[in-house]
Amino acid sequence: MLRLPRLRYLRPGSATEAAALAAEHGVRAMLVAGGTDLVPNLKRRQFEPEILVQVPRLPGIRRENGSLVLGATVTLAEAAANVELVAALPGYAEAAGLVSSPPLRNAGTVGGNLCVDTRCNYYNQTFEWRKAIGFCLKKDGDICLVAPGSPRCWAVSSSDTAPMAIALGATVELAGPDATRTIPVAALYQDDGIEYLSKQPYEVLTEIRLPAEAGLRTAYVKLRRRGSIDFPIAGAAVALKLDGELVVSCRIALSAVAAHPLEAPAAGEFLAGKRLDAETIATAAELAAKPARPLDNTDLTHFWRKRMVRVVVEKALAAAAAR
Amino acid sequence: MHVKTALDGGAYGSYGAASVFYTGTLQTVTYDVPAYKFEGARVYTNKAPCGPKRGHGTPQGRFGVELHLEKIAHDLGMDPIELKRRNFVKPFSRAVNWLRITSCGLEECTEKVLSASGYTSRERRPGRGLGFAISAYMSGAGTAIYWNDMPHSEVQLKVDRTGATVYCGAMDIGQGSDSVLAQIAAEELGLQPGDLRLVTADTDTTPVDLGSYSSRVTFMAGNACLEAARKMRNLLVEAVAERMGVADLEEIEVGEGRVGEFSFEEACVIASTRFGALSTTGSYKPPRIGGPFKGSGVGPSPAYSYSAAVVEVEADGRTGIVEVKRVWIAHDIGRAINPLLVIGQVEGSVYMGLGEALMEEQEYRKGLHKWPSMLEYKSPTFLETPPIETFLVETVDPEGPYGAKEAGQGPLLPVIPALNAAVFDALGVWIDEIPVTPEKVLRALESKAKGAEPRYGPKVFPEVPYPEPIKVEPPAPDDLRVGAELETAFPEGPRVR
Repeated sequence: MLRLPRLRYLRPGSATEAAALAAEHGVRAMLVAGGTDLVPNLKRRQFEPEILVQVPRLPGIRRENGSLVLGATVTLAEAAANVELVAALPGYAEAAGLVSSPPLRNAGTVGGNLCVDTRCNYYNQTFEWRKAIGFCLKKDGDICLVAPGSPRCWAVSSSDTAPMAIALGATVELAGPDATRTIPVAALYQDDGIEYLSKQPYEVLTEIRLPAEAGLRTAYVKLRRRGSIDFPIAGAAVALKLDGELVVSCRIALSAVAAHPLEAPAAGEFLAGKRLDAETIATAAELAAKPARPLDNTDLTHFWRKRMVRVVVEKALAAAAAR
Repeated sequence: MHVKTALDGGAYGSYGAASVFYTGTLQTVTYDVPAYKFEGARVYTNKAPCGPKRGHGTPQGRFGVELHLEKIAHDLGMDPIELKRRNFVKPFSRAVNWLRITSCGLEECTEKVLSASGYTSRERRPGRGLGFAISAYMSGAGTAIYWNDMPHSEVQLKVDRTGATVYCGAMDIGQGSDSVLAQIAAEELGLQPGDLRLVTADTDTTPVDLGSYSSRVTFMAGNACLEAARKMRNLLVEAVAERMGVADLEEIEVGEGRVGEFSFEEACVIASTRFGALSTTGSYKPPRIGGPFKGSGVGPSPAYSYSAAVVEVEADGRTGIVEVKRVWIAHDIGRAINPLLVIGQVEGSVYMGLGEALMEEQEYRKGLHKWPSMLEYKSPTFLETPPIETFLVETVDPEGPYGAKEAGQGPLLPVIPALNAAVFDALGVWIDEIPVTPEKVLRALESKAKGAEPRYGPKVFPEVPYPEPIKVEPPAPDDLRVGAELETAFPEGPRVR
C-alpha cells in the first residue's frame, strides 16, 4: 500500500495569506487545491514537501464585462454543468467534463487542472519502480528515459482545460504575498517537462477569465483509451469565429502532444478568410498536427498518437463549426 | 488437428504446467476431432509471476481454433458458421483424447445467438461487423489437485426445530455459491432459501471442499448438498409417515414449509423424537473418466458447459478504433438453479473477455512491467461495456445437481475470437493476436492496402524443442464407460502405441 508522507497541513484564510505561507516555507511547501493530482504523486514520492498549504475556497462563476470568470477552486464538475458556461463556451465545459472520472471531477478544480503536473510513464510510477529502472531527469535522476540522448524532459502536458483556455485567449490571475498579476494562460506554460509553469511556485492561481464573445464557437475533442478515467493522449481545443460561412478567426491548441499545451497558429492563419469544408478542415488539421511530437511515454503507441492528432483536430473543427 | 502452444509465464512455475495441459486437452470437447496432436511448452522468462484466470489455459486454444476455422471457411468460400456447425461435438459421445461428453447444447446456443443477432441477414457495410464463436468448459476438474480417492466436496446438514443449517467448505467468492447451496437444501426440505443457515469456508467447522476454482462448486458442492438434503428429507418423511399412519412414503408431500400434514417445525420434533439428533451428510466425487494414458488426469470433468456468442462491432478504418456495440451470448448451463446469478456470471465473462480482447496486456519495457498500476493497465469501464443479451439453454445434465453445470468461466471463451471475427467482418483484416489495439488495426489495413497479407500478428510460430509426443489409441466415440467399468476394461493401464 502506498502511504502519504508525514505532512504539515496549513489552512490560510485567503489566497494572499496562502501565497505568503508558501513563499515563507519555500521548497518545503506546496500548494494544494482539490488534491486529485498532487495526492497520488505524494504517495509515489514524486514530490516530497513537508508542508501543504491549502488554497482557500475562492468565489464561484460570474459574468463580468463579456467574460466568464471562474474562481480557481470551482470544481471541474461545477464547471462542466454550469448553465452559463455550457451555453456560452461549450468547449470549455466539455473539456472540464472530460477530465478523469466523476468522483475526481467533484474534488478536482479548474485552477488545479491548469497546474496539473506533466506526466510520463517513466515518472508517474512508484518510488521502487523508478529506482528499479533508474531515476529520470524529472525526479531524482539525470537522464531522460524516453529520449536518452536529450538534455531535457519530455513529460507530457496532460491538462484538458488548458488548451481550451489558450484557444479562448483566457487570462489567469496570480496572487503573490504582496501583489497580484494577470497573465495570459498561454504565458503560464513553458516548453519543459520539469519547469512546465512560468509562475513562481508560491503564487496562487486565483481566477480564470474566459472571454465569452457572442457567436464564438468552441469544441474540445479528447482522445484516450476509455470513455472515463484516462488522461488525454491527444486532444484538440478549437475556438472559432465565423462570418456567414467564412472563418473570421480560429485558434487551435493541442493537449498531450508536448510538454506544454501546444498552440497551432499556422492552422488558424490558414483558415482565416476561408470557407470551412472537408478540404480546408483537412489541410488545417495537417498544419496543426505537424509540430506535435508524441513520444513513447503515455498510453498506446506514439506511432498511432501522431496519426491521431490530425483526426482530433478535424473532429474538433467540425464540432465547433456545427455549434 | 495439430495444436502447438508456448506459454510465457515468467520466472515462477505456479500453475503453468497445468495451464499448458488445459490448453491441449480441452480442444477436443468443442469440435469433433477424429485425430489430434498436441505439443505444449511452459517457457520460463524474466517476468513477474503469473497465475491462471477465467478459462485456465483454454482461451488461447479457443482463439486459435476459432479464427483458424473462420479463415478456412473464408478460403473455401463457405459460411464459417456452417463449417463450425458441421463439426460440433455430439452429445453423449467420447472425444479422441477420451474425455466424455454428456449433455451438450451447442446447437441450441448457436440457434439462439444467430436468430437474436440476425447474423445471417446482417447488413453488410464497411465498418460494421458481426463475429461468431463457440466454446466449452469443465464443470469442475475430475481430478483433485492433490491426488487422492476422497470426496471432492462434502456437506453436513443439521436440522432441528429452529431450522436447518448447511455446513460446507466451499468458499463463496462472489459468484453466489452460498445461495446455490441454500436453494438446493431448501428445495429438498420444502423451505425457502432464506430459511437456511449456512456455515461455509470455515476450516474449523465445515467439512472439506476443494475450493472455488475450476468452475466446480455448483456441480460438486451442489451434488454433495443435494445428497445430504435428500437424506434429511427422507428422515423427516419417514417419521411423519409413521406418525400419520401412512405406509407409502411417496404420499407425504414436502413443500411450502410443510411435511405431510405437519409444519416443518412439527416434523422436526417428530423426526428427532423418532431418530435422535437430525444430521445428514452428502459427498461428491467425480467419476473416473480419463483415458488409460499418462497425462489423462487433466481435462476430464463430469460435464461440460457450452456457449455461443455473436459480437457486433463498429470499427473505424481511419483510426483503427473498435467499438463493441452489442453482444449476444447463449450458455448451456444444464439447469439454472439461480438464473440471475448465471446471467451475472455470463455478463461478467463477456465484460472480462472484451477487456482481454481490446485492452489487457502484460507489456514489458526495459525489463519492467510497462503498465504497473490500475490507472495504466486498462480494463473496460461501464462506458466500454455494451448491452449484453444473455440466453440460458437448459440441457439438464444427467449428473449435475438438478441437471446444473458451470457458468463461471465458459462464457468468456467465445467472446475474444468472436470479436476478432467481427473486426474481419467489418474491415476485412485479421488481427491474429490480442489485444486488438487501434494501431494493430491500422497496420493490418496498411498491409492489406499494399497487397500484402490482410492481417497483423506473428509471422511464424517459434521453434520449440518439444519432446516426442506419446501416442494413444482413441476410444470408440460411443464408449461412455467411466469409473470401475473403464478401469476393468483396461486393466494393463496406459495404452500407448
